[in-house]
Amino acid sequence: MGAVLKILSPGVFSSLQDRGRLGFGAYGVPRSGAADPVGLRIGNYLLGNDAFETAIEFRFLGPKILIESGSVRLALAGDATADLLLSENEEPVKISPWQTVRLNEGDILSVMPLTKGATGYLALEGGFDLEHVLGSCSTYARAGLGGVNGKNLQQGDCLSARLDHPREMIEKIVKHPPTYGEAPLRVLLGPQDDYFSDETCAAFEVESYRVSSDVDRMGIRLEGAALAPLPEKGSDLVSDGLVPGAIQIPGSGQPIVLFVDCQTIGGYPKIATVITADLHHLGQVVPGSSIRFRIVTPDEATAALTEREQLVQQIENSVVDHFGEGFLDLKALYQSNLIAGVVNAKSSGHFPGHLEENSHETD
Amino acid sequence: MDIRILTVGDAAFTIEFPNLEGVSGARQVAALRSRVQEKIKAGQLSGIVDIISASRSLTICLDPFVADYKFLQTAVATLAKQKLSLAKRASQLWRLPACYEGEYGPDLEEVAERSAMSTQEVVALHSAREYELLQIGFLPGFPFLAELDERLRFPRRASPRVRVPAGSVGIANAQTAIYPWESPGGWHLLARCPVPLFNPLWDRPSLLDTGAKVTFEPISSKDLALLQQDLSRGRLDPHSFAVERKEG
Repeated sequence: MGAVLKILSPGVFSSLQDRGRLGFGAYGVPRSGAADPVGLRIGNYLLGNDAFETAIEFRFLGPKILIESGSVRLALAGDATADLLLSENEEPVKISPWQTVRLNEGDILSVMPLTKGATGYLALEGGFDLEHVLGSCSTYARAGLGGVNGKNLQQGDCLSARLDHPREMIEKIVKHPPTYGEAPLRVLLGPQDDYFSDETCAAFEVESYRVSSDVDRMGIRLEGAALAPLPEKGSDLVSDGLVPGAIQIPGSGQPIVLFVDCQTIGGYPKIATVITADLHHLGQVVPGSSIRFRIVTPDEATAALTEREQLVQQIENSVVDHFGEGFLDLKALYQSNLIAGVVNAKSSGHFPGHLEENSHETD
Repeated sequence: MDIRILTVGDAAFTIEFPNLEGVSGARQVAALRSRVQEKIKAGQLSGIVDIISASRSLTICLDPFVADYKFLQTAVATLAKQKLSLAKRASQLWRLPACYEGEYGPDLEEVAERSAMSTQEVVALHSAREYELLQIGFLPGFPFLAELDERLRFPRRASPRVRVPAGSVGIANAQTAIYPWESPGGWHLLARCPVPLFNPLWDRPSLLDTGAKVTFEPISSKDLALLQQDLSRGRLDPHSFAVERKEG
């Protein structure tokens, strides 16, 4: 029997994601898969998992998880901290972003909101015990595929681990995690760049777009100067195939960057498509930020992908042992009274040094 | 055959037949698709991870780490320019029950009004035709069926519904379709079909495939309820709505 993880609070749009569901486009099945495959890979790398092992993907705010039985090791991949509440109800231990952590039965991990980016991952050593649906464990809720019962994570869901306890190892942390810069997203023109004048295509590259609040796994709606198609072409075309990263221009002229859960065919012209090397950045796009595009050549796209893989390698090479703010250290801190005066926000009447009086408090 | 080659990023391209439309386009696309699949099986095209069929174009998706983009593009374009055999079309006929009554056909009266016909005439026209499945998309298993009687052709609703119930049968322009899942949608809704169209556990997850023929058989709301019950309890196999017929 593997360890069991119970979702006390699911966070925001938390789902299970892996590489995605490929090969069923002919039946209208979206690709799905990790919104930020680089984040997923780093999380799995920290644990020695396969690169695309299924992990919990969360958007903006992560879940709160109780270890109901057994022990596990999780990796937090994303710019969020977490509180680890040990079963014996001591002060929460702060977990840094991009580190592994071991949890035993009764422990609770509560992931805080992301401070940067939009997507984070909780990967599990050895992976979750899930069924593949059409070749993938990725959740696609609209058609009830993958994940837990085909749905995004819900309060009370229980997930089984393949392992019942983690390996003995020193925890790991990424020293140089990925950065989410403001660099323009690189695109190849097409498939319908012929629907737009050269001036419009040039404007598309110069313009800075504001990311609207409408950002999810299906698409990212942008706001800015409208891009009008050539009058003789219009905004309607005979529907053709779509891929994540395609930038469609509906009648309003405001671009929509299609994303991992996008439909397989569509009838709006697509001025350009984000290159594979930059697709993972789409997973970290935050409402209210700005986006720019840069048109590149196919050769540049290929070179960019090689470069990105080198970057992932560098990030992986920066993984080091993490002794950090471990549990033992915390006890030492209590004894030397170094953290007096710190108030626990979760139980406002709780001051360090008065643990016993509050021992009935649980979440 | 005239073709256009469209770039869809660094991991996909589309081959379009610009002079074809509707049923003739979809047949050409299906023929090209089966040629590409033969070549993949023969080990002559590697790195293709998915193929999306639309009504007059085929989109080939690649693994950019493995595939040789230019080689594949040239190879598939060469196949597309050849005369393709359209003979081996599967033409399975499906007779799908559809309830046009009351709440199940919320736009029936409006369509009747706009086409200056009675609702019975609209039902008769919609259910008299044998449609051909041009493409599956928008949602898993969502079939685009053509061609609708000219008298029933209207653009999509000006304001799409936020929630279209699963099983809704809609019309838009020259096509009719069935929503396999609850979703937002802008088609005019004429009826409700109880037959599930998609199940990941089936050999082919979509009940219908491109090239299939579909007719709608009007049923009462009472029959709809009975069929829904039988289908959900597994007493009736959705595949049993396929009608055997001789090639002709």
